[in-house]
Amino acid sequence: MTLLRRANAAGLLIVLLVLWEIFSRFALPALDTSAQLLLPPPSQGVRDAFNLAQQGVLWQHAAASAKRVYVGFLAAALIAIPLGIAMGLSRTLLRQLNPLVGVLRPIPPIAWIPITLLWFGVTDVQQYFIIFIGTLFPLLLNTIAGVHGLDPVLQRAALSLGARPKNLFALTLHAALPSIFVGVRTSLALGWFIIIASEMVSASTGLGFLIIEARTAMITERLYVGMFAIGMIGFLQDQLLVFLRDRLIPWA
Amino acid sequence: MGVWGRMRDFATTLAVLVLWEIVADYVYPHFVPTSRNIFPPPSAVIMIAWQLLISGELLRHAAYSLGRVLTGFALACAVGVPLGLSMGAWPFWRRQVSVVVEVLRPIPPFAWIPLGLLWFGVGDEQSVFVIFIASVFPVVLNTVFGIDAVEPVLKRSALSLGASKWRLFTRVILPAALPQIVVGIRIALSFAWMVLVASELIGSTSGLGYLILDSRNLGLPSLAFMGMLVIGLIGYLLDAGIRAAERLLLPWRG
Repeated sequence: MTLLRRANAAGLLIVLLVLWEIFSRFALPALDTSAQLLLPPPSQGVRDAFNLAQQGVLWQHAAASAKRVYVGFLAAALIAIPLGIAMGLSRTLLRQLNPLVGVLRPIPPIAWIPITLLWFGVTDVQQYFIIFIGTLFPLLLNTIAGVHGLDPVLQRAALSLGARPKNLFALTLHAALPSIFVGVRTSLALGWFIIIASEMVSASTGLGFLIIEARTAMITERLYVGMFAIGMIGFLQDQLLVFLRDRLIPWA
Repeated sequence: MGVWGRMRDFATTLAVLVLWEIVADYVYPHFVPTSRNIFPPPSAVIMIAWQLLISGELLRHAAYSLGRVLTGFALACAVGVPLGLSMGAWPFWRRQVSVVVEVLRPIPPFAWIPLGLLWFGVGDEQSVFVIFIASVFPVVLNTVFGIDAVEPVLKRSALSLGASKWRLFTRVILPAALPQIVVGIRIALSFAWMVLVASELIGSTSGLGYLILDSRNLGLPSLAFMGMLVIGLIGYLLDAGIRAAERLLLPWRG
């Protein structure tokens, strides 16, 4: 019953896919012989996905992108989380750094690409930097918000029970973790977004490169494969993060 | 005290700027004679901003970029809000469209750029297409979410006071959902601005994204920095504009 209902909900999706298949396979070539190049049927994408997966090309590109995302993210986390905790605890630090954050944060990470190309050239370090800059601010702001979100009642209760600074710090961290997790989740999703753009501009590996290369070679079905693969990775990563959250910080 | 306190907050920022100026002007070139080609002092950034402002080039590129963003964004609102409303009104339609949306949503908007380039070639249409894709999802999702979050008590009391379905929708549900719809529009606009820069970097010959990429070809890092700051500033102003409009138009929002 539930299966039937699910299939029922996917009705529109299936109808659209079938229409697309018919349109691309039969209607387009009748209109213009080259038009099918621009919009190949979905079945051709599935075939190309099998080919790429069999040759191992898809995994190589995905691994290259993943390495960039996670290295850049890790660097950002190592700086943003301690700094965010410090900024959350110290009003002076927060007020001193706020103007700098205010100027840098609205700059889209993608806008850093040209200047970082000047600095690092077409290297992985340049990609790490773009991810670093892109994931730094969501992590930082969510960490600060988490530290600020500590319930004053809890703090006073802890103090009246004789908490030492060490205990108080642990309490703050405990209270901040859910918000820090939101920062991690946001910035990892953003990291996968950004790496695609960054690899399209300057890289010779990675999923972003795969799709911009497919466009140059006019292999449109490979665009479908690349886009779908990117979407799947982002989706699975998010599911994994939610799974980890429920295990590691159940109070979130 | 207030003014003095505020000025004191900028101490670190000022120190960073001064240090940057000294390092970029005197220290770094001392070791690497060509350092100015990759690391400009803030004064050079200000200088080039002034030059481009006077020549009108900066405004011209900014106008191209703004035109693209606003076109794509307006299209996304024109499609996204009615689609979201219709999904909120008819559960069957909503279940059907949700599946399609859930399949497409995880794909990063940037990943549509190559497809846009293939279909529309280098130019405005490509940017508008990608911006549309990027901003339509937050608008749809937040519209649906806004309608879901309308308090059932409000709906029931309107119905028991004899409101017709149409009046219930236009006079109760829509105003109650509007703040959430505006949240979607805000997210959409910030997405749109981010995606625009990428689409101009990759497939355009005008606009601020193109300007900063060109700075790399010209070997003018000060131009890149200036472009980044202008892009950040415009993004900030767009968001501030929407928030101001929200306060003005939606005074019932808490």
